[in-house]
Amino acid sequence: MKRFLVFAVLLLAGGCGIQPTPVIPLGPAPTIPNPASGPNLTLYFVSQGRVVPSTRVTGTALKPTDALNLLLKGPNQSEFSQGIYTELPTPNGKSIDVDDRTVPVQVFVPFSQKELTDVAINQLACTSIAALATSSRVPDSGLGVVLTMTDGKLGPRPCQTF
Amino acid sequence: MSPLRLRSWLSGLRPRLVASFAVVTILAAGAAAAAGYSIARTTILKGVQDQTVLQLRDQINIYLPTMTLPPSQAALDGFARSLTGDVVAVYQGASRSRTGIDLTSVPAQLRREVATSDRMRFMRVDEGGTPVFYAGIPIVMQGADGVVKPSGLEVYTRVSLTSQQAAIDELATWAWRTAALALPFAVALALLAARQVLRPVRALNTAAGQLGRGRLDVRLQVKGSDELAQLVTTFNNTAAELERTVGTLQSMEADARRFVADVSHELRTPLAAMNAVTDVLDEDAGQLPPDTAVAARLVSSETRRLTRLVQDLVEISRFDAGRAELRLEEVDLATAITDSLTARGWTPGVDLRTELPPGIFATLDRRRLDLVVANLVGNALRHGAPPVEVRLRVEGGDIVLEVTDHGPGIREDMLTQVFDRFTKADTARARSEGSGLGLSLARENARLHGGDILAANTGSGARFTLRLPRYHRIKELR
Repeated sequence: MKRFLVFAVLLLAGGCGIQPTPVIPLGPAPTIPNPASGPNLTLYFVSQGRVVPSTRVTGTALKPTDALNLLLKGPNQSEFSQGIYTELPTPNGKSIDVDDRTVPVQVFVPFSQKELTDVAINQLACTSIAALATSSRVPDSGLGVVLTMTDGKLGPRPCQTF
Repeated sequence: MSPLRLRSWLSGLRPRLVASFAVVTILAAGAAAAAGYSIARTTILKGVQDQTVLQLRDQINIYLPTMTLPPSQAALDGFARSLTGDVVAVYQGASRSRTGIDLTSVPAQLRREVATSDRMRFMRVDEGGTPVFYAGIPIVMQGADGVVKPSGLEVYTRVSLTSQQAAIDELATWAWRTAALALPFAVALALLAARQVLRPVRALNTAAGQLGRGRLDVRLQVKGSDELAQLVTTFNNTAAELERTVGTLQSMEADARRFVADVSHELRTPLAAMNAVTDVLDEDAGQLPPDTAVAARLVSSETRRLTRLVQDLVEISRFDAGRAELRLEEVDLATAITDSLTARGWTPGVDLRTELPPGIFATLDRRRLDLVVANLVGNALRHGAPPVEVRLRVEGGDIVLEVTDHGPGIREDMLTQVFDRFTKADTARARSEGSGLGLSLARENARLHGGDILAANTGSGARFTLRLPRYHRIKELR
């Protein structure tokens, strides 16, 4: 009975409503890739309807054109086994070209707008910006890239997270 | 209800049971409700906090590979725009995105800890009555040497918990209501339990009362096998044992009385013969030698005494056996009492004063009245000192006869005992002419009429007061 009373008093002392808290730690912080720690390649594939970054270790820094053409080939075996897929159409020998001399950067996509979903366009935008960031050619991720399809232009588009 | 009665009612078993049940129920329901409330509150808050922080971390993880350090103003703006909620992105505490919350509203302690940490942090504060949730997410980078260090990039968000507070308040209201709902059930249950306990207790109380009033055959029905049933069984056993013991005692007493009655009865025949002989001896005493004459007179007087004792014993045996009968008749009291006195040779004069108003009639047994008057006046003449006053009066529906002497009176501690059998007020006088049963018989006679005799001291002597109902009611006949 005594223990029960103590329990009840403690519960009541816990108070009603929402109490303020001190600063409470949660989980580990996100890490920004550091170009200085090694040339990495980030490709954006799709998982559960949203783009997800997938980092591949490469020996040398790849140009944005090479990165986008790797993206076009789709996820590799280990990525595929994690449930990662791509919404880009199969290339059938076609390839993507990037002109990084302009601001914003232009990406030439060998597909029509009808062939590309929103997620596919986001895959292309995010992968190009990440590749540009790795090569440190274009510092401004906030600006985005212009996507030029076979039937028109889109952008400039930033990488969208939702 | 007066305060005293209220207090005695409150100390009863029923209110105590009800109160105990109610308290236990309220405590239990309150504790359960409080525990449920506490858990639900934690779940609600943890839900919104975790969802906010985890969603932000996912979005940051997606966006981060596209960023370079140091970020331009446009890059910070784009970063903040790409995150859901009221989010501000800060770089090295100096530049911030143009959208998002006011940085000064973010608690300084949270900013300080986030700036130097590799973990996400949150804090809940009270902003003027509104609970607000702040989360700070530092972004770290791995140096070339593999050491993780802050990148200088931080993200802060603010979520108002107003809707959560409303939900939690509603929870609390429901918790109280549920606890309150349990109360009537508890009271009803307590009343039921109290009734189940109290009914046998009340029955026991009634039975014990009957037992106390002499109904020794009272028994209770034993129901169930709980402690109360055991108590009832014990009560029944006690009552049975008591009845047996009292029965044994009564039969023993009856045996003893029957023995006395039988003995007295058997003594009457030889005594009658002895009386005849002593009468002859008394007449012839004058012709006997002096020594023989003294002996003959002694035998004669002792025989008379023995005869009176046996007569009294026979009489009192009748009372004990319940066979005493009243022969009621209309009696003129003054005449009857005067006759009684005259028959015993007591004439009114200096030593005996009478105050007997004529014309007082009453319905009584004349023989028994005679016995009582003779006994009271005889006692007064023998043990008290003259003058003896005999006074008759009517008081309400009773007639009252007072016999007062002017002797030494009766010792205070003997006043009630004088009516007991073989009690002698004067222990120094071991042998008197009385049988020792006179006053007992007088009182039995008075009581047979529905009246009584009381003894008292007047200060200058003893007074015996006989009080009899004037008109004896038939239904009071035994």
